[in-house]
Amino acid sequence: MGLLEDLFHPFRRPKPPPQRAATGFFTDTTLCIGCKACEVACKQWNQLPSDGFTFTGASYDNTGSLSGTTWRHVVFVEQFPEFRAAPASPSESTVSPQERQGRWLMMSDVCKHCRDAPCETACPTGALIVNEFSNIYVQNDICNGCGYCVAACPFGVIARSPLDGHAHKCTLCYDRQRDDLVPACAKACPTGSIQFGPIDLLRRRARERLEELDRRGIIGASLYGDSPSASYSTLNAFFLLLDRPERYGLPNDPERPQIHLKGDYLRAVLASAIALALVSATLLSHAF
Amino acid sequence: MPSDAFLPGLTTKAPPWHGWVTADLFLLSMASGTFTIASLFVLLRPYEMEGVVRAALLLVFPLMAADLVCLIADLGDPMRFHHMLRTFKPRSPMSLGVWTISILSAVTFAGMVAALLDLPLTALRAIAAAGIVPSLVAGAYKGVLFSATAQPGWRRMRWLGAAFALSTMAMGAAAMLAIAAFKADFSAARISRFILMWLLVLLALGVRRLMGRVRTAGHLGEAADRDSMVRTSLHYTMFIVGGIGLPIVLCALSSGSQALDFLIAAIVEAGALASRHYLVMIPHRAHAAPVSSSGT
Repeated sequence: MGLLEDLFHPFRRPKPPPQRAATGFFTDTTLCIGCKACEVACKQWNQLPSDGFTFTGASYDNTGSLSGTTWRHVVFVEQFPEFRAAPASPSESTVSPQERQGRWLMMSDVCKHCRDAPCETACPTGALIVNEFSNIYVQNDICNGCGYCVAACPFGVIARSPLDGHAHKCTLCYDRQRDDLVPACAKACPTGSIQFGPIDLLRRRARERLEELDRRGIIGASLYGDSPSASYSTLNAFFLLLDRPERYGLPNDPERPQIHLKGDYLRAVLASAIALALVSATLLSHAF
Repeated sequence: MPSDAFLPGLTTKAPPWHGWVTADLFLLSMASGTFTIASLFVLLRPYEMEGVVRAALLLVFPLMAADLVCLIADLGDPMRFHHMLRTFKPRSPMSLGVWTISILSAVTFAGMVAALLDLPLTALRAIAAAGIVPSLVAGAYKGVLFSATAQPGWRRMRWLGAAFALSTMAMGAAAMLAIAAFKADFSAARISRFILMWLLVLLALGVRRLMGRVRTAGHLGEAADRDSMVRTSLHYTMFIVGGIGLPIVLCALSSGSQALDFLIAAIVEAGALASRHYLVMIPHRAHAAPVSSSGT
């Protein structure tokens, strides 16, 4: 019975739960203080194992990147002037006082829960689904660890865990959401940098925050993933950034991998047809 | 401007694909390519080619079975391989490929049984007709699978599916050449050699298109520097000269020597194996490369 159950269980399709309001994260990096409470809360609630403790040499970052066992990762970027010999006089200095002061960029990175997620499209088992909250969710009892979602994600979020061989990533605390609770990371964030809620409300709030920063004379602030680009959908976990996306380790202009799929298939069919015609013509030729 | 002391590297993660995937690519191309060429032989020249086709059909299913072993061993959870069959998603090249491989496995098994039981030519032709489309899809889909990812290098290769289609058929023609040489069927060997030569010429054109992207977009993605691009171009040139150009010259010069036919087939298959491994490892090399100052 056990073996038969294992064989047939994945083919059963229970009735999906009714659709609920789309939810997501708005991460305001201007409020992040790099405390890593989100990382800890995520690990604790989701019972994720430790990744060891190593000195990465990358600022205060001991985590390195998102992985199958780390679903929140605080990115630290130090922006300080390079060491230069002191100029002979202040007028010779090429570095402005503001630049000399330098700054930290910190961002709590997470799965972007893309509106049109490449990982979900790529998944050949149907383990990756869009759940009733419009979040991208991995069904752990279905995933067989093929790794195609890892190759498809342009943000390097999802990864195969060496512990069980399955792909894992942020679930947006699906279990907590079903009980009307806020995801663990947003609950733990002491500054309100990570905000959770209905996605429409978050987008409105983000735009108001951007206007406020503009009024206060903050230069370079922008929203990342708030609206679709020519090559990528909106993100249900989106960010307010203070510098170009690549400074935070985000692709500047992400591209949906399946965007050229029809053309790729067509070129393969064309090449096959030409080769077939060539081989057939040779075989039908009287020269041989 | 302020410096970014801890600028993050590439934004993607290299997929957990290594040697098993290389073996899978090679064995699947070998099996599907051999089946395609054998099918065309038996459909278009049944009486003349019957001997080599029967030998080929004995070979194809063991190759498919070995490929399935590699495919399953590469999974994070091999016991869940059958989960791939719970859904069909044409927008996922891997899903399309798994269904195609499943169909082709059944057809090639039937082919092996037909060859073993010495069933009449009509049975062989029916099996060939049933399997030719799945074998063509199986030969090409892996290229599309790689190009429909976010990985540096792969994502720029718009002609990879086409190159795989041609390479697979060339591998099949090389296998048929070796079989014909082994059976001392000089007529089949002559035709196989001619077909192989022209498929290799087409393949060279296909790979040339891939190389164009190396120069314009940077094969290793945006983090690639000039040195790595030059190195990549050199590797491609080696594959073209060694794995494609040399066999073309040998095919043109061949006077029907069995030893030379074996050598030609061996060079083609070895080149296919090496180039496939090179392809599989592109994202790993990109992630190991130092990050450029422009970031990603």
